[in-house]
Amino acid sequence: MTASNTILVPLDGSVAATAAIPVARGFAQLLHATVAALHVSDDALAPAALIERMKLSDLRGLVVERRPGSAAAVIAQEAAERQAAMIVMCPQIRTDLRPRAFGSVAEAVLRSVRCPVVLVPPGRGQKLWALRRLLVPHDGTPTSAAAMRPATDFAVMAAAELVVLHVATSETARLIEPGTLVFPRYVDQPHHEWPAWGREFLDRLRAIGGARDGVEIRLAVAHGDAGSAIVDFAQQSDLIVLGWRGALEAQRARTVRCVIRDTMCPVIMFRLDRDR
Amino acid sequence: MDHVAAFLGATLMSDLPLSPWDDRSWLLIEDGVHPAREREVESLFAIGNGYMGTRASIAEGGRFSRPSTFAAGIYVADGNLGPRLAVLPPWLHVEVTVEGRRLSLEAGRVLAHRRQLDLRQGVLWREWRQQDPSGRITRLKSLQLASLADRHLLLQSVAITAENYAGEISVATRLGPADGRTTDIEAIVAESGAMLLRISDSRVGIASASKVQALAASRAACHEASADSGKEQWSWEARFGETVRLDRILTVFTSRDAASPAEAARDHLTTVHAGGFRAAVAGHVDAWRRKWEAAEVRIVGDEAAQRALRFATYQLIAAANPDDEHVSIGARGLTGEAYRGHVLWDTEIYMLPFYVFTDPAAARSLLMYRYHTLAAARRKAQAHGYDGALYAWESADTGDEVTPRQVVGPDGRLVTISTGEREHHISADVAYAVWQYWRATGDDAFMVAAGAEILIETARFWASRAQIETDGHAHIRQVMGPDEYHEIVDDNAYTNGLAMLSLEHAADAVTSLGQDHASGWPRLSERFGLAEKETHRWRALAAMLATGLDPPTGVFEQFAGYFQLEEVDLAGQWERSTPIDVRLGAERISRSKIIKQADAVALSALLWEKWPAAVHEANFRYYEPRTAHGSSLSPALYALVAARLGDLALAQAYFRQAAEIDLADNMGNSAGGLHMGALGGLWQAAVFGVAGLRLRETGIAVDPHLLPGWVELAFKVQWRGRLLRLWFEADPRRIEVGVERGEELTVAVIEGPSCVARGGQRFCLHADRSGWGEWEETAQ
Repeated sequence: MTASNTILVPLDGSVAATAAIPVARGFAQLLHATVAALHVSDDALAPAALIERMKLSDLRGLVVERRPGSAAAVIAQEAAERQAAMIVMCPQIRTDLRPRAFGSVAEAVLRSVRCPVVLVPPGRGQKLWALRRLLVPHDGTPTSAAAMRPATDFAVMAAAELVVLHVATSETARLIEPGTLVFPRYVDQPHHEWPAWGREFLDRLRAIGGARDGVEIRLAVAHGDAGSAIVDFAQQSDLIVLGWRGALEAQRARTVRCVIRDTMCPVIMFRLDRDR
Repeated sequence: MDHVAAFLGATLMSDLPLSPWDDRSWLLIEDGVHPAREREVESLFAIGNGYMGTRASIAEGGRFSRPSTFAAGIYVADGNLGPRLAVLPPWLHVEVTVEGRRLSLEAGRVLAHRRQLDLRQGVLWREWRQQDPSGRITRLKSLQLASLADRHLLLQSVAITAENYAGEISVATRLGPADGRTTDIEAIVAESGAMLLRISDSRVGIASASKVQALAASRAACHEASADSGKEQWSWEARFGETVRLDRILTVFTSRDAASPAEAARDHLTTVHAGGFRAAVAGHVDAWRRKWEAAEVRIVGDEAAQRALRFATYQLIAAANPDDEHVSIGARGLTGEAYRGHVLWDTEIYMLPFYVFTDPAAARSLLMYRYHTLAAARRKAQAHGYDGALYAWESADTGDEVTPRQVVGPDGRLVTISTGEREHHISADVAYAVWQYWRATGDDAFMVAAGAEILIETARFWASRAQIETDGHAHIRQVMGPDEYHEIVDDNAYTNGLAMLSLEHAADAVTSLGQDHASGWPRLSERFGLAEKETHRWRALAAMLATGLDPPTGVFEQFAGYFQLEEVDLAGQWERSTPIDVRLGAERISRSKIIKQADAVALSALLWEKWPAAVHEANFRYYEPRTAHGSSLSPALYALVAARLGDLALAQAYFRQAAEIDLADNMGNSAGGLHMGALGGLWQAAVFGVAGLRLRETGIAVDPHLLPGWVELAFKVQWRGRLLRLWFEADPRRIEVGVERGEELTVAVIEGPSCVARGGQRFCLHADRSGWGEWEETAQ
């Protein structure tokens, strides 16, 4: 994790956007960080007026700031300058745009920042948030395994349960990357084969992803469409940990878009380095 | 376990006491260390001698390693999941410290790292050059072996070179768990001059011991030992560029071998030590040389096939112990924890033929394991309301059923496991193996002492299991065949076919023993408790058993109602990333004609002589497009049958698929151990399929169909005390047979001439476009 003690929460002035704040507070507690609420607007709205507009009642530990300019650019700039530990924001605010995963600001922020971004469904509201169970969906690729290090860091910090979810899809096997671990071709005796495969799957993840030692990880397997399975499974989770390769084009990030669009669970997105 | 571990001294010797085999085609090579693949490499490069098996873990340990040693027959209880092979500490654990800093792949730069499995000599080699963060370059060369000449002996030799520095080097070994790795050792205590390692359930102790051997050392190494942990350490001041070699002997005994394993280990160490380290290494190498002389399958023209068969042969040799008839070979041998060391039909149907024809003593021991567990098989039959012996689908030390009844599946749901309850063909598989062994070896002593009883008791099981019904046929209902996609079926073709054979063979054995051992027969008959006309009933029942044969097509219906199931096109399914049973779901699969593995086709492989080739052809063509090969056992049998049918392209495709199961592992399940059944199946595909070897009452028959690219195939087999070497050449077609020892036997070629040869004779046979010519005796 970065040494920074700032968690940036971009707010657009709407009530819905404040759904990010309880989650940001939860992370702040874990990271011993400060939550900086950033309102990017050319309107010279006073902080008190902004607070009133967003109906923010609990202001403990919250720093509220305003910056003029283009929202995505300013958020990215502030995150870089402050070396923010993470950005916590809603992926999109307008509920009439439900079929979309990302609003334009969130998508632009995701594309431009290097720090993790936590996307909080606006429908989550003001409910308190604590990290008790992390869900790490994993497609078996070595690149995606990079999410294991921060995931295990969080699991240790929060004393949370960590579940890795591998979804068996019906798609034709694509050689996404060399070393990708897929389901076994031969399952001689399933009651022996699956535990052995599961153990190896997790061992490979730990090895490639640099997972912290001593963290107990549980493997869950689901079948069918990956996005739907993740959303389904996340109903019992407090945080989805997603590694993504920096591309949000419709085809390449189909699963990511599906999860962001449909889940009610916060999603932390770590940008993966393809050259790892 | 008792243990005194020690290096045998320090000296200025640059070379190890042995070199890797100089033909690279005998070496399995892994360069570098890849955390993702490490556990798979540990399985592939495992060493063993049938008594012990050790995974090829990095000697100093590592985060991504799964080091372990297994001893055949040493199990621990594990709750509802039943017994599993005990995980013992990796005996080859060695830590090197340079100037107080532990040498590690994860600290500094790896300049070179290579592991080699020397298939020819049964040795694991390692070469490693590491530059530590201070710039010191240290080179390590090591060998490890589990002696095939003396199964209680483990040898290790490490040469350490201080390439560009002078300074203190220390080397530590230990038997206790390293780096927090889990083993089943509860305690290590010093006893009788060795170390005793106590296993979790306290039923078994294992002992090992070693001793310092003073070599011509330039100067003494400082030695410290901790009796409690089994840790020992040696340290010395290394000179610039100096190489120091340390040799280590360990002797291992378990409470299965000796009342006091510690004393036995200590005493044996004294004996081995007196003979010297080099002599011990030489004995091991010679034992491997002799094994290869008997078992090598040589292929000219296909390097990949050659390599795969050498690997399979190596692992099969390393898995068996002819001297211990109370253990068998688990589905993953002694190479990994998967399958918990459980013994399944893989042993009798897939592995045993290799031993029958190359190492009959090992085959006999494996069958004796089934004899010694006959009481458990009787208990299982009785518990199910049947007579005779129903062997456990999964068996461990006692032979009692150890298949779990329920497990939690990968999706968290509770799954009922039916194999232990329903896969009854295991009893027929064991009987088939007994018969095949007897037919190939003529070992009457085994048959009298053990084999006949197995045949009789399994026949009694089938006699009570099959029911004659109103249609005039005997039926075996509610079973699971090898095709486990269809869990509970009636009249499974494989089960019924093997049961029929079991009944016939038992009757034949009784008749034969009655004739050949007339004087002792009354006593034998009494021992077997044979009822009057019992064998007649077996024969009658065998004749009435439903076979499922559809006369117009010649196809065996795999089970009653199979032909009415849904057709699902498997074409285009192979590139998908998810197994078909997972993708379609168990329920859908059970309603379809998709089968998991060779079932009716396995009948062809095992009972070729029982039906004409047209029947085999019909069944192969029918089932091949419907087989998903969801079992690693399947491709080899399809290769075998395809080769016999002369479909060489398909035979080659399946042969390659079988060869790649472990060697081209990309699905991660070799990490838990190697697929021993598939390795045995590969040998059968070459010998029974490509060479077409079959047994005859007076000798053997062959029917060679060399695969595309195979210029030559050669191997040795044993038949009733004769040792034969067989050569097959592709172009021009030529067969050569050399009988190296033994009396006369007949060597026939299917649809060709026969010859009678005896020890010291060699015959060859040529073919032209019109067919085979006549056998000609040639000079030796």
